[in-house]
Amino acid sequence: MWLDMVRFPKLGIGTYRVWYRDFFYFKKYFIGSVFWTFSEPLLYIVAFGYGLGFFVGQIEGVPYMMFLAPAIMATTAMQGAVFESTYSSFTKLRVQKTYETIMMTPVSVEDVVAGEILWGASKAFFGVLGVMFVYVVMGMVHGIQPWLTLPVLFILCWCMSAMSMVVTSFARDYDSFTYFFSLVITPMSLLAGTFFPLTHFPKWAQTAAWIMPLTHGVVVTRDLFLSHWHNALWLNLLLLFGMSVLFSNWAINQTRRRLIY
Amino acid sequence: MVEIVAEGRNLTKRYGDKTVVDGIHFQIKRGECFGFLGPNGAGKTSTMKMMYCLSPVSSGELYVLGLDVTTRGKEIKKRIGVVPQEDGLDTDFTVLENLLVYASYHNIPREMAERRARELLRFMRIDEKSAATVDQLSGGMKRRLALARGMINAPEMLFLDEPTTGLDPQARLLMWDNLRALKSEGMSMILTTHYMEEAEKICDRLVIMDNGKFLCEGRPQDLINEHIGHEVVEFTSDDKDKNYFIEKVKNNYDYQVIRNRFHLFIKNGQDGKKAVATIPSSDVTIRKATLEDVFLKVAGHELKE
Repeated sequence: MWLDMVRFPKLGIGTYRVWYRDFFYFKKYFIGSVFWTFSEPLLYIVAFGYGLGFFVGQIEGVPYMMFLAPAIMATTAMQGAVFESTYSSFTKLRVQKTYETIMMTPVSVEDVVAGEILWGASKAFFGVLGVMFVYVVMGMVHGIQPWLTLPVLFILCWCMSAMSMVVTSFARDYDSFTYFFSLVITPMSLLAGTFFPLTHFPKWAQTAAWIMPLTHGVVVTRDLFLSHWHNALWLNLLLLFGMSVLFSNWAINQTRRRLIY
Repeated sequence: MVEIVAEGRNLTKRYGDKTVVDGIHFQIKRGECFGFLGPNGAGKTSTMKMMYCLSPVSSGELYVLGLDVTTRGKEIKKRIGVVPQEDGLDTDFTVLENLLVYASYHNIPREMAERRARELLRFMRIDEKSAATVDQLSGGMKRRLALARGMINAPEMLFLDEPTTGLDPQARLLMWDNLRALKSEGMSMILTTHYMEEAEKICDRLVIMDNGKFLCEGRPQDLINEHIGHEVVEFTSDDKDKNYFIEKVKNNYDYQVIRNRFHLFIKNGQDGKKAVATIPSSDVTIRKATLEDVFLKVAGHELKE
């Protein structure tokens, strides 16, 4: 049973088919998605970067704008993945019965859930690319290391998408997500070292932050974005990857219980 | 040798301590249309879901196309078509896109999928709605689209879970046309229904099911002959006359009283008109025996909830 939780999920042609179904739908409404993808991160950058940054000045030796910018990428990754893999996936699971229909074909539950998680990650990553594009235009990207944030952020997208899928697989109705947002997502986006460095938090808050995927995503993304790579970041990456695998398997197992009975 | 496309042996489905399919045995032949009839909650859908590998077998054996559903689900799903009770159409897509997306789950190459999809939409008479969204379709059209979807992989057999429930009479007739056309092409079909007329018209063989068990099994006409006869004489009696009528008919005819309505079953060799003549009542009618009479006789007529 525990082996089920730690092995890498099987990906097959069916996974790709499920992913492509969502991509196919996304393509149809591409223009509308682009607007929403850019608008929120831009808003944060303007409000906090210019507004708050003016008063804060520097944090840990860098301008507040540069401190904040990578964190915005990480929260964009998180938000995008969470929305896609809660409300959209729940609709497909419970309301439209999309998954049940897919399962009348040779596509397995594992394919369905893995495909959905990957899609949630992909859509969120699309948002990350948008933010990166804005940073390039604003002249904030220097050297090679900032570009390495992209694969890291994809893992973060995956992790958050998988975590949300776990919640979706347990959810009774749309209201269930309110708890997830107010008890998990909002605290995480505030306490994961996004807007302020973790070092000034009390010890218990730092410990709590350590179990949050976003914290590890922010730490690695920030150091890479500022071209400060160091080997201790491997641990953060490993934890992030491990959580992604764990959440993915949990989501697959729970959704299977939900669909096959 | 007749090829068997589906076979259940002592097939059982339990949810917790509730047994919904209770040790049934059946064999369905290739090219046959086989019906599972019964009231809601009889276990029809559970049986179907086990056959199309969406619900695990609790005990007993079940083979579809000669393959064990427990271990060979994926292979079975490649070769069967399913029209589930709830259409499960993808409201994010148009009619044509629904078929294309579903075809992709079956790994059908895009061009072939499109050719087949257009063919099927024509066959189901919804080709002029190809670009419409699912929400713009009538109930009958949705049902036919679900049937087209089930056919996209050119299956060897079809599972139809209540194909016409909730449809208006015209839509039902259209659906029947489609099903009969498929049957004449030799398609093996397994369907559930609670419309007796549907079963009588379409099924070669059927079972009547209740509480997870088969109550009777056979060709529709044989079941009618065996359990009812060729005609039914009906009349109404009030409570005080009931015993009088029972005395009058009980020696000559099988009968069933449903509320205050007498049903006399006229066996082959008996004359319905003669029965009518012996009933001193003004509202006596005589009609052909139907599967509905069989159903009410074997499944009982009490309303269960």
